[in-house]
Amino acid sequence: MTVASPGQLNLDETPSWGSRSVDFFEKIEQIGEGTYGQVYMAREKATGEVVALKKVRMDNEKEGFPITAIREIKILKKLQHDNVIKLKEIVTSKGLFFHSKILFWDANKFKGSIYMVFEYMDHDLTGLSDRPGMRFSVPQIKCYMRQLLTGLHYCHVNQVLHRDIKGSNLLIDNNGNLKLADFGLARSFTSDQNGQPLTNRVITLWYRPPELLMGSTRYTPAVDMWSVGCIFAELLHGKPILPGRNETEQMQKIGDLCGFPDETNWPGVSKLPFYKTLKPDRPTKRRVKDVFKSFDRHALELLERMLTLDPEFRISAKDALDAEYFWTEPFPCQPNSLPKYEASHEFQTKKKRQQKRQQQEEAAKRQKTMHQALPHARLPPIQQQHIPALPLRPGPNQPTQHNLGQTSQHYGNNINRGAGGNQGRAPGGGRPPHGGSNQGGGYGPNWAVSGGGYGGPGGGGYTAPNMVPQGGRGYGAPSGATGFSQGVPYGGMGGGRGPSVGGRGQQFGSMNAGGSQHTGYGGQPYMQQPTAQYVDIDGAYAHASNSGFPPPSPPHRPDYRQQQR
Amino acid sequence: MAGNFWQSSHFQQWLLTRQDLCRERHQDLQILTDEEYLKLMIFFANMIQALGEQLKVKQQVVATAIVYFKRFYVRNSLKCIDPLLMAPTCVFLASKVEEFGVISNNRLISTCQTVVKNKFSFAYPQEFPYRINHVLECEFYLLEMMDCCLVLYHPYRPLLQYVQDWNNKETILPTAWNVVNDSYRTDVCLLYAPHQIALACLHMACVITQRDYKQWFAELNTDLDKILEITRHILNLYDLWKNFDEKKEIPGLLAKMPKPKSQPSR
Repeated sequence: MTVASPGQLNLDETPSWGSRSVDFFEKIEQIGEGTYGQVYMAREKATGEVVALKKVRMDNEKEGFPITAIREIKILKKLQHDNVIKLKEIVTSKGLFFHSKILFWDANKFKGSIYMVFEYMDHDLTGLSDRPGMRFSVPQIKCYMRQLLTGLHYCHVNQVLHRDIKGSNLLIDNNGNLKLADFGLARSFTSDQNGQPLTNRVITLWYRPPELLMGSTRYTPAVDMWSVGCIFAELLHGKPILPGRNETEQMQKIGDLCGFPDETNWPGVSKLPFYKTLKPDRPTKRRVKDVFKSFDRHALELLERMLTLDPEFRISAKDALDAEYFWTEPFPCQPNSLPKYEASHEFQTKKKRQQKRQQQEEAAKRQKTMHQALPHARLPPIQQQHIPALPLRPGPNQPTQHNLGQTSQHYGNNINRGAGGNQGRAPGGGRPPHGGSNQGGGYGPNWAVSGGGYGGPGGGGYTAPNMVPQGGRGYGAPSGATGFSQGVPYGGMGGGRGPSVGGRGQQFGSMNAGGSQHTGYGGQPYMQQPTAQYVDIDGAYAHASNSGFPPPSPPHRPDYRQQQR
Repeated sequence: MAGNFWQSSHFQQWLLTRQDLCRERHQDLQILTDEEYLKLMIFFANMIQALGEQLKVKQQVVATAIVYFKRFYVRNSLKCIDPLLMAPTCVFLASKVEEFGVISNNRLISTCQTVVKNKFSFAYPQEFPYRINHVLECEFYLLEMMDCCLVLYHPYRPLLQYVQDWNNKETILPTAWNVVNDSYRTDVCLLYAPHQIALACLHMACVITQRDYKQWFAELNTDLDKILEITRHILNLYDLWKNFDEKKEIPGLLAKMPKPKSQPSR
């Protein structure tokens, strides 16, 4: 900055400090709406760069600038990592003050808004996995999981708890990069026990750990790891694993899956405020291994450690990155080797849905008798071993295909998800094994043998990763995002999918949740033929059902964004 | 909040030069002398301190609020927003940023009324004129002007780290701590990094308590010229304070101070 002598100063000039005006951007469209306010896709006029503008809702008159926004800004300015969403700048709808240099005392005239400018991301994990016909490959899941854990480890090292880890807050771009977003519930913590108590009313219910449900107010980064475990299982299982409708039911579902905690597996648990209220009449046994027996050995091992009831013994993000799961074949793929998907945003598709709901309802009535138990919501990962070196893209699940051919998706599955799923959690029932998932025992050593089918895009078969598998691994500190170089370019999405499985239920339960910034897309034409039916891969008939009720949202954080600590 | 000062907006955007200060304040300094301006800033820092004590917030909240206040008026003339409104606004925002919680509207306004009436009636004989909607609007401009650079680094933490392995820290630390508190009545928090301010205050505390830590300071790998500059700022403050009769001078200075054109409608 050059210094002008007083006489030369042009004081009417736009100041070179302070926030820029939102007028530097043009809004393209709204891509999200939730408790936090609105999110727009926008373009910076000068550079043409596409960004996401998140408007800070200022309508809580008592609080002024919301403390959640203050935390989000503080935290995001501090965190700079490849797997954490980047806050580019803050802009305001200014002009009033700086042009007039006086305050508007009339409250009606005061319409200042503050926007956070983020890098634009094409999808979120929920949106992506709900995409009709979407099936993630094992290396893809490993890739996402590793990025999630790397980002979360970085947060925890920097003493930040995210406190709202869920699929719709994990944004994914078309280079396969996954970033943690929505730090509106996040806050920094001190490691000492004398710190002030924290609110236990955080984390979307389905992903909320037992210690929070029991009312703990002194908790640790382990709360985020429980959520990660839920997401991990969800990716492998194909649908949310613990879809409780309220706190009591949520704890009940956790108890059914993990056993209800007691003093033997979690010393001190009985002292938590709601322990006695939530305690079931008879004890339940832990049966994670039974319920998810189709998962491979290492995945199950890791999941068990993530869904450990006692937060003290729950695996940390750092240790999870060291888990065998990530260091056995098939290795996590490189993010940029993942297929690219067409972006669209839940917010728009929701509108279209609403328009069509009317006619859907009619159709649904006619089909009423056909509403039988629906198959599972999402597709579990591909577990086939011989995946030829496919061209990376276009893959079989490219958007064009969906848009052209697959018009018959029903969305009845939302019954499953939102309402808590009658058949949802039953281990065997409701969800027939599908695809390769009945390989059961996993693919431990077999993989190496059959791995010949692997091929990087460059051909030449299976490329050895940059490390020695098993034993003396050559990786450095897991904290470094860059520390994981893996040389397994994975040949994109395997075959075996196509329109036949593509017409799966479009899910959008949790996409309505307030926290989602921009959810992925639901192929727009997915309900043009509401009455069509098709043979599911499982052989079951699924119907284009529409029961008429709006897509349910998971019980989300209602008003407790205010005033929490 | 822990974090890296060198990557912070405090370091990157909000360490100013003396030229910056002169340039930005020149409008006010055509009306007020340097000394008068400084006295007004001392007065309002005292007011923020009094508000903070009445609200029972941590000293860190007070320190943050004072820096916010200084940041605003380094970029804006005193006539943009009445400092009497800006002072409680800074406390309100600082309390949220420093995780001290949201001060309730009624409590904030009633505290302002009490403090102004009990402690500053010599300057403001009338009742505190603002309501919460004024504070909230003012907060917006404060945020906008600071570009939401909210996280501050204060000298307190580095000070504690420096004296950690001194064997007679019990005698020096309280003195140094008070000097740091006093430093918020100067511009040093806008001009120098917190660790430099901590060192200067520590050095002054050594002189005051007559301890010889020359060797310790000599071995520091830091720019001692900066430390001396900070010391001069604080010594100037002490000189000024000696002859500053707040009750006598402030009413005149407030009358002279540039003021906003519009007054709030109530």
